Amino acid sequence: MDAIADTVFQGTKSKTQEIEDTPSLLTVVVDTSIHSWVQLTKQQSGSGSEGSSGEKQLIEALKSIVVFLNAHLAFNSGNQVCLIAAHSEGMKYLYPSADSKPSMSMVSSDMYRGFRNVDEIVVEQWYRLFKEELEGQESKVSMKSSLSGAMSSALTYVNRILKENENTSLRSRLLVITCGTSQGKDEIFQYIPIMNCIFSATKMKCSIDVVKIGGGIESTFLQQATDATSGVYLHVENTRGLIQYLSTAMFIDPSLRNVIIKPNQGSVDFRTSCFLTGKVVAVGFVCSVCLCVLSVIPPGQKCPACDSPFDSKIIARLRRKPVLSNGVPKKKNVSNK
Amino acid sequence: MSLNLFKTTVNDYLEGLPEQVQSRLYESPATCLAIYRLLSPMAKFFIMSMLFQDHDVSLRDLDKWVKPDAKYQLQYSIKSMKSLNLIIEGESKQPLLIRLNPIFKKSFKNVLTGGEINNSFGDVADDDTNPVSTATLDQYSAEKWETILHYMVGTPNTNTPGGKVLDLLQHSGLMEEAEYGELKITNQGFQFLLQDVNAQMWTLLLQYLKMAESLQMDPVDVLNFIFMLGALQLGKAYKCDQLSNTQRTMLQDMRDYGLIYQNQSDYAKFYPTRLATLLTSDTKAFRSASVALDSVLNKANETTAVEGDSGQDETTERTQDGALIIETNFKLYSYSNSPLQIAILSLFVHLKSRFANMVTGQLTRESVRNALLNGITAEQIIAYLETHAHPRMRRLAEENLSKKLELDPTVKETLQVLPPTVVDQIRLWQLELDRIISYDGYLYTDFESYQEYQTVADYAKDIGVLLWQNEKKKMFFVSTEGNSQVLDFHRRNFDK
Amino acid sequence: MSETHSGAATYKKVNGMLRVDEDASPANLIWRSTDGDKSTTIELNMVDKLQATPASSDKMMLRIVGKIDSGIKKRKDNEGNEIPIKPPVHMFTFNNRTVMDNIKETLQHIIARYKDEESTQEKHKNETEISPANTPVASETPQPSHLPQDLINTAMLDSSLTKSKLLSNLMLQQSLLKESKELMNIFQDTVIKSGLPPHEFWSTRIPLLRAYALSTSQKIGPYNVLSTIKPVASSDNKVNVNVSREKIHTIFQSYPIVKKAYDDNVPKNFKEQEFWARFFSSKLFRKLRGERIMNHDRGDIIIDRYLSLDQEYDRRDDELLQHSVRKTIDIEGNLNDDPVKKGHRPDFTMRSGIDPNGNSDGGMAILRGMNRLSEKMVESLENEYSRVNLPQEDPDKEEREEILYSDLEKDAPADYAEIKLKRKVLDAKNQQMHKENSSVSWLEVKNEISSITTFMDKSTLDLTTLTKISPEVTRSINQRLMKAVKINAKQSKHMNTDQMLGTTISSTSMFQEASKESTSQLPPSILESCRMLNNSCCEFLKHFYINFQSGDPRKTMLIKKLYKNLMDCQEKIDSLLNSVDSEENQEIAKYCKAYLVHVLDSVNLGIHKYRTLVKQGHTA
Repeated sequence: MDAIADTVFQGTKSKTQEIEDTPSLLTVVVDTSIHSWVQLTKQQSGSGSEGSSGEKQLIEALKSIVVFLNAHLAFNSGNQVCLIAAHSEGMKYLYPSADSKPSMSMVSSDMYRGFRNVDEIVVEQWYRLFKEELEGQESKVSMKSSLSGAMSSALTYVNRILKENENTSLRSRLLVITCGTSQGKDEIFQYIPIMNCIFSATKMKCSIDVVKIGGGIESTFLQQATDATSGVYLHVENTRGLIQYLSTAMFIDPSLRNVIIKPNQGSVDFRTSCFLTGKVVAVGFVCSVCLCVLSVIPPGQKCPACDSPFDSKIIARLRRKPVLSNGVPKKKNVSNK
Repeated sequence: MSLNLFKTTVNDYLEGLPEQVQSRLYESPATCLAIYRLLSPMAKFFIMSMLFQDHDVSLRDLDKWVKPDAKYQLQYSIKSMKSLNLIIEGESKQPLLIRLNPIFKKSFKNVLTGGEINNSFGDVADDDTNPVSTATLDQYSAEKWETILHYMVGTPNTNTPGGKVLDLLQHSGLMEEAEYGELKITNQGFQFLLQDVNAQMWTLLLQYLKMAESLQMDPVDVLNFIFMLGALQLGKAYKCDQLSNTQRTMLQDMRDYGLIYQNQSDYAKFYPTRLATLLTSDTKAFRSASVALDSVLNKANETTAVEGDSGQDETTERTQDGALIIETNFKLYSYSNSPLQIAILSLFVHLKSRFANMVTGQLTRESVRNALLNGITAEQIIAYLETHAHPRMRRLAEENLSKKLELDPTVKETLQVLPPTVVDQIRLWQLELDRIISYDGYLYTDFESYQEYQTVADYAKDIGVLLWQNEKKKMFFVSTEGNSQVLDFHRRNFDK
Repeated sequence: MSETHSGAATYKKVNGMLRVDEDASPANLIWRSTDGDKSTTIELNMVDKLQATPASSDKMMLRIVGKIDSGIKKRKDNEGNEIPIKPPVHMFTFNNRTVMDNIKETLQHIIARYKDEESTQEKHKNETEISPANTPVASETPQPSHLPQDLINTAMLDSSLTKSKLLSNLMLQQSLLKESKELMNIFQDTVIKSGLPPHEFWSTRIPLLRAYALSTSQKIGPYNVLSTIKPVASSDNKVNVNVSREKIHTIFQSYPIVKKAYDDNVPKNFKEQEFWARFFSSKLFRKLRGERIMNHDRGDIIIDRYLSLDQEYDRRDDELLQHSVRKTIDIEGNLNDDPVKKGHRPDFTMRSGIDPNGNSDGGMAILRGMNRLSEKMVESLENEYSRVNLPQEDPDKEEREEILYSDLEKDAPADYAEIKLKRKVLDAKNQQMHKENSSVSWLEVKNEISSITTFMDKSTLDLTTLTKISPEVTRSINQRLMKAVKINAKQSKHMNTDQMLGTTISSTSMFQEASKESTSQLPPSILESCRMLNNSCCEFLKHFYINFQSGDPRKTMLIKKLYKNLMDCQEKIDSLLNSVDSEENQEIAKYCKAYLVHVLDSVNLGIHKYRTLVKQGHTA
């Protein structure tokens, strides 16, 4: 009897091994703040490397992104995309766009309808964005990067789409394309928003991948973001061959994330940064109420983030320097308490 | 899952095609896209990574991308890619070096970049004077399709589909000729009824393909057309002049299945229906289509026109038509009004009462037995219940699974949408029918000595063909395949 | 009772009455003839054998064979041989089989008891065991377990676990050291050999001490001992019981009646073993255990006399355990406190556990007894674990609050803890800073944008250029990616997640790991000394820094001392390295140095810091 029953009941067990072909949502956040791209080009030409054969780096990046979006849509007929540009004045949803249907056809008309609908809107909105910036005034344009804001809005979009499609099991992932040159200083003050993004992405099981074009230093916070959400971090020099990167390393679908090995290089610097000075901190002080990390004892005996008062006795003790019997205060030596 | 079912059947068919045919197929970008979507996720990943390079790739590199515990999927995807001739031997002819089929590569790149498409994706007719609304299209396709299904189920007072369709049904083994030239549904037909619309459509289309070869229709053209249909946009008119002759003949047949619609007056254009545009898509995304289909059927009498996609735009969750809830006490509730759905349910459920918007019934031993005796397997019943499960059941199952995984991430649990009691019980009822397995073979008795019996029996056991033996009575039973070997052995050793 | 102990019997052809007297010590058997002039007494501890006619035969006789008294002088017969002394034999004839059986059973019981007592005594004499095994019948006790020493006073738990108390509790520290070998090693090295003050040593290990104290001070609370003692019926008609010293102790604590019985009878009337033998076959034992006393129970005459006394004790306990109901709410009590009412005894329907005839089946008594026992156990824990420090429950509090009218009072205001969160907002100053720092001018940016837009204006985006990337580029990209994947693949192979355990395990098994460790290139002795040195250096460094950074001027002397200890550590490391160097094997020296170089650096750094401070102090 068991011989018969076994064959029936064992048939179901092999199901666990198959990879489910579920549709997924891809959200791309592109850093389009022009000044960083210009800096990149200058660096590239300055260092003597061959320019991108006449075409602007930004244009090539745009093309690679468009083809990448098409590839994602081709992967599964239920896949969706979203493109967000983080420019100097804020962020803008390039696709899906709130504007009406595209009027200028900037993409080949032969293309598969499903792709063409997306691509046309993308390219047109991109064009419009630049045109608006051109006409904008100098004062409005700030040099700071709005990457964290764009990432947060991307995650809110993901959340909304996931809620809308609760019946179908939609997965999601986020790709950040950033052009990094002197981003180091800006990023320090975006530490908290980026950490918030990381936490919500982990909750939603949305993996964050990062492509950093140019720039000398690694962006530590984005690296931490990819590490925490099982994403891929890539640092490339320029946009040549970007499509190859995108179609290999960045093409790992959420359903494949458990089985494909990620090409991450290098180690991640997990240190956090101080709230007041912005420096990376290895040994420091922590407020016990709001857990903000400080590298120096804050003036005013209050926590700078939550205003909770610190016990003056403990502050005094922390401030004490090593003393010998002659009682002259010495060089300050701060330790962890 | 019927999703995988239709994929595998189509895959099997494609893998069975000879190489030249496959190469010709790959010249059409629409076909490439459709075939790409049919592959397993890992295969898709590998193809994409090789798409933009020109040099050979080593199989070992592919191996390295995959984690050790997923080797099985890796082998499976490489095998499927090879059998579809997507991966061929590398240019340098060294072992383990492969490259992507150049024709496929070119076409697929064109798909992604919008290069030379050559009307593979259909030629839009821009001068559409009398646009046809989606509602009409839906109604048309629903009508045509339901006719076929109703005919199979045998509901009285339905129109009979066209002669060619009946031919198709008969050739595919879904119906057979009974007395008086009438067609009666077969076991396979019953199984067919329980499948998804997509799977059903593909079964018919594959059968059509098989028949097409005998009718001297170029299978490549047929496949191209079918895949093109899958890539068309709903509601747009497409010109017919770029189609080949074969494809033009197909237009007529496709009309009969409800895949395209042609205005009576203007045969130069055709309109793809929802059934067509969703040919190559997932079942999950497709559920909205079946919603539309059923809602159209239900509201055919009402004046309000239903837009197919409105179901998703509403913020309140509409219960999908045909959604069913099954309880642990085997009671079933189906929110459906269409006679077809109810007829299908009555195949294996004992329906008890019918309300304005739903039917209730119970899965009893008799009802399931009836279905089993008709040739439907337990797996199919279970698959049907699962695909039509109410979204809340699905959500509940997903919550339970995530809770379990939170506690212990390594537990290998799958999503259990249906209550396990019901699932197991259906299987057990099926087992009740399989109480005896019979084997054909040869019985050996009347040995002269125990020695002889022992040696021959041992030999039979060693080669694995011994099915039964009885020491006391000195007899044993050997399967047909191994009989000759046993005889030879005996002759060698004992006939002196 | 008397049925089993007396009956009509014929002795030496004379009719009479046979009686077994268990009260006497030792128990004896008395036969008296009907007319009273003849009588025989047999001491039952001098009986060797008891024989009876089988049930099948017609005769009903009992034969008692006495023991040979070694004290009697042996007589010699005419030839000078020793006449073997015949043991005294007594024969009794009965006319009633039931009577004979009863008496036979009683005699067997008593004789068996005496015999076992003898045998255990002999065993003890032979083995010269000092601690007597207290068994009623022939079974050894388990090893005497040592009673847990009280390392801390659990009654005052709160105060005995404070830092200062723990530091001064030397006994606790010593036993902890005995427990843990590692700790002992470090202690020896640092405190005993190198002179770290023990106060310092323990001050960083307070949690260890506390945990150890708590875990050792756990005692078994009171429990129902007698129910754990199960008499096991063995062959040859005996019953074995396992009782240890601790259990006896607990029995005496829980059941004062047993203690009284013990004190009264031992050693006055009989020895301890006999006491226990009697006790475990007595009705008192059954009652205390909570079992029904059946009528056919033999019981034990002497012990069972305490049954009535036990009832007295129970009544007293009940009064003590009574939780008094306050007069204010004891309505029923107040109603029934009427002298007029207190008349007849309530009807059987109002008395629980009694049947219409006024008999109870003993069930109620058993339940009451068990409840009494449980309540006594709970009461006994009143003062353990600092329970006296808990706020005394105010029994009236609830009642008082109920009576008060509180609905007219205002609601207590919600007590919110206010947390002000501030976000870092870049103000204009920072913006200005950014702008100035950027190396790109607005003009350049504008140029860039305009060139892009003009490009896009010209034509549709030709995506096919992407297909024409030069193969070198793609190849180099691929290589880079594959390199990264290879490295990660190797790592993932080694770090397999074990599907069953759910943890990551390395591909090498545990056994291989261990063997890898031992092939660490150093001979084990040197490895051990390296380890020890490392541990003690770390210990000294830890204490040095704690005191150094505290900035407390009172600790100056201690800091100085620790500084000297650090210097010693440095010397020790140097000497070890030198000694290893001098041997031939340079490899070993290299490894040793590699192991110890970090500790050496840390010690040097600490010394340096101290010296700088001293120098600054001198110069200032």
